[in-house]
Amino acid sequence: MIISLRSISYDDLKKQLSKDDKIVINSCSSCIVACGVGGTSKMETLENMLKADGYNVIGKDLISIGCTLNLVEKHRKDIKKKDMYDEATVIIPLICENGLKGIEHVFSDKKVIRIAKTLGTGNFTMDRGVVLTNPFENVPMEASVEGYELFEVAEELGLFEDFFDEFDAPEMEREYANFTVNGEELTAEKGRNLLTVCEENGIEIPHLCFDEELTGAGVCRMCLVKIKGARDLQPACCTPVSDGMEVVTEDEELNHYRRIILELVLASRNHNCLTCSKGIPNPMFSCELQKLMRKFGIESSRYENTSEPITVDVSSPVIEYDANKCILCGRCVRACEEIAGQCNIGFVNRGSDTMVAAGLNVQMDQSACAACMACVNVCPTGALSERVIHFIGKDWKPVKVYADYAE
Amino acid sequence: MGKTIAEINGIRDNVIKKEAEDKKLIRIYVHMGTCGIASGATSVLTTLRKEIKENKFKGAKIITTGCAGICSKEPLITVALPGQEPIMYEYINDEKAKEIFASHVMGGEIVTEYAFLRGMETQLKERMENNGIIEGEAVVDSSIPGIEEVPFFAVQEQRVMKNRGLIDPNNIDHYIGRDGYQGAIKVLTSMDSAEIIKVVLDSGIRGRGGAGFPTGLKWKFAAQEPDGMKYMLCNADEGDPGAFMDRSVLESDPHSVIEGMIIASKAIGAHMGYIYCRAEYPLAVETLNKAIKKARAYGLLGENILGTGFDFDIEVYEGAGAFVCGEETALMRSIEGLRGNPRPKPPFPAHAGLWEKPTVLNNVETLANIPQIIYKGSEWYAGIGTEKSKGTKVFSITGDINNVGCVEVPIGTALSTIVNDIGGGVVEGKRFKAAQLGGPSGGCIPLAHIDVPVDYETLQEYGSIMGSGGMIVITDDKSAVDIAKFFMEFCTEESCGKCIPGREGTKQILNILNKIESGRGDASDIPKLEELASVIQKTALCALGKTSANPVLSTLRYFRSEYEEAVSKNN
Repeated sequence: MIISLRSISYDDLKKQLSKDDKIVINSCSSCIVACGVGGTSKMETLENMLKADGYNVIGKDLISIGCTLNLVEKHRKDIKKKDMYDEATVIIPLICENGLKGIEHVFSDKKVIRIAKTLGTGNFTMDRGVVLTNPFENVPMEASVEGYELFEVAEELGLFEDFFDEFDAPEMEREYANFTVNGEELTAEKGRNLLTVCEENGIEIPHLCFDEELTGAGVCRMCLVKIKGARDLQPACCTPVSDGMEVVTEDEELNHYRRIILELVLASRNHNCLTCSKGIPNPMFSCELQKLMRKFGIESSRYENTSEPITVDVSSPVIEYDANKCILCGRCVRACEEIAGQCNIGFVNRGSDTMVAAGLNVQMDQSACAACMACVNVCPTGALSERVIHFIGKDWKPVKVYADYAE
Repeated sequence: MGKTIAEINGIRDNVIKKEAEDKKLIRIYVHMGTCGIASGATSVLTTLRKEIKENKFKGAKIITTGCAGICSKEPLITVALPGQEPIMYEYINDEKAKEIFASHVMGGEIVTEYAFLRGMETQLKERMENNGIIEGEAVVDSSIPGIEEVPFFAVQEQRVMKNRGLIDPNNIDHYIGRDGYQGAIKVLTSMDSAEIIKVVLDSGIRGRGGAGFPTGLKWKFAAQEPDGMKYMLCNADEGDPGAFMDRSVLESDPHSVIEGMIIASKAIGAHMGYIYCRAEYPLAVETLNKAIKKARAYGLLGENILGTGFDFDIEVYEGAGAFVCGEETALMRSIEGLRGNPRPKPPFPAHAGLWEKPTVLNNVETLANIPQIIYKGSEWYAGIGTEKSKGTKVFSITGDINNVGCVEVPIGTALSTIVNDIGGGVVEGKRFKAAQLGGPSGGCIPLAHIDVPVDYETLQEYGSIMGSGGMIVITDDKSAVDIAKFFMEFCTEESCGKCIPGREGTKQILNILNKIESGRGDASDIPKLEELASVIQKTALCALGKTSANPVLSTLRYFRSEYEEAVSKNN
């Protein structure tokens, strides 16, 4: 993983901007997210701050792997984003310096502002988060197996440990909605997504197809909630909060529906949720389906599983696609369109024969897959996974990869 | 160039004049809906044309029309001699057609043997009032029943289908001659959006696609949206098994739908419309395209309609065979060129529909009602029906019944009237078991409740729905489990695969039904079915998913003992 830290203060950023600028903020969705300098929420924070200060932010765009040049090019040409990028005069990319080179190349006609300084490579640790282990030559720090925590690095090099602080900008005028969830009174900006707002307030709503970086789809029906006055149960992931809303997220009835839905999922295809190794508590790759199965205490399904085994697609060098574990939540389809800008993954067939497929229903390596991992990062089960993690538990064998010319 | 309003009115007067002149000719109507063509109407038509040519017979005119309504007696032809009552013949083939031509058309002798009835559907009211006598039309053979004596026709109230069996759907003048496009002229010249919506609201018409949402209200929501791009859509993706009302309307009177769309677009401020028609209706698609072309040539569609300054055009969009595309949001995705999957509502289409623009989607039958509501007024329309549901409803009755066909009755007509009087009862040797209304989304009404009035609220009370108008009559030789299985098979196959309850739930219900049917079921299966069905009803994403388990719930409600018997072997 590439380690980068914010290198510019909010005031310095503002000095580089004028009120006439049309600003687009984009971000890589890879290492920089783990370093706390990029991702959807960070783009939103910066957008809100700049808007509150009177700057004209015309849009934002998440790119699955920002250092892949052709992905960036594709985003610029994307039919849905082209107009926005054409109009922009300034690009603020939340990206490492490696990716910055590509951005500067693709947007050579515009002003590009550097946000981060890239320091070396590192790892993710369970207890200390992201650490820098191998600083670059120009960074005055020694390599370390244990690694340096980001705050240490920031202190040492005079960089910023956190992202821009919202309090540095004046408070934005926002319209707020007052509503209740399970009797608790909440306030949030009008129009925000109910599921996200609930989670921010510590109210968990089970969900499978929702990912905060993607548009809501209301597919899995796990997040159905009761809203007073609504004719039917509503998916929280597709419901904007509004004034006076009265929401119930959990009761015996709703949990009954959730249990049945989980049982239905368990009876479809081959979900060995009780034994599958994807349950390892890794923040990037843990299985959300398994978590829910445990939460609701589902050990077996009362429904008959008539599915036939499906061949696992291992054609891609980096992505393994095991359709047996797919729950058709469509996150990968949306990620491929919205984050990767590729539209390489889609649905084929109908009803219970529906499948997620790459390209024109071909193997992954036969399709136009850019191996950007946008789909893998959002998959809530073990259907799409990075191939390396399947070596867990096996002994590494030393392999000679280059000739020793000294001999 | 397009025509002016005066010219359209001129056409109307001419057609009326010409029709009066035509009465001096021998007219042969060949009823050529898809039903008629499937039974051999094309060959009958060719035979008749050949006969005219070979005999060099002058003074006879052949008119092709849409379905005459009673599909089980197709092919049908009607022969009208000057000064005589028209005679409708049933089950015609080439030989019979030749015989009728020689005897009736050329010789003036009615072939009583093949005759079905005397008179035409348009004269029904007049005949009923005057004891079957029409001025200027002599009764020749009173042994043939008059149309007012045939319950299939006598009990019906023709509004949506007033032109069926009478006009040539491919001839726009025929439609104009029967007050066609007068409603459009009225709204384009003298009504604003609020006035149109008020008339439609006052008429009390509710969506005929199945849900029964007040049409005027739908328009009002879309009209309230800020000006800009808006769309007017017509849902002609009639997919329920056993439903063919919309097809019949489209094939026999396409201009009524086009006129309805012009009125609706004026009301909501739309300038572009699509008719989403299933590709499995090739004749309807062809008829519609011809009608739209004709309407454009007359200046009734396109820019500056009839010189009134209002622009509106229509395109026909053919579906690709998915039942779910009849669901409004899936239909819109399909028009956009995407996979036809529903999406959660809200936002409702009136706010964000096709290409996220305000959109109104109305069913074929709803739109076909609109021109008359505007032309004749809301009071006329609300004159029949029940307190909460006004007007008529077209049903396609099919299954184990004598008279298969399209019937239009006032809302609130008893089910028994439709089945026994209009439908002529179930086929001989069998007993009525239930009528399935609303296709796979509906439910059945058993013999015990056969007298219920057919309206939105009552049917819901009895676990069924009005639906789009499919009515399948089932006799007692079919088992309830079988009925449920048939519809569940349909729902499972036609599920779009998007939401878990709709995709996996329907599949599991079908699994359990298969198990019960093959004698492997046990007592726990019945509560399991009920539980799963109610979960699907509550949690599925779209209306089709939510209602997909209804056939199971409704057969369980009325024929539970049959399920219990089927699983009792293993207890």
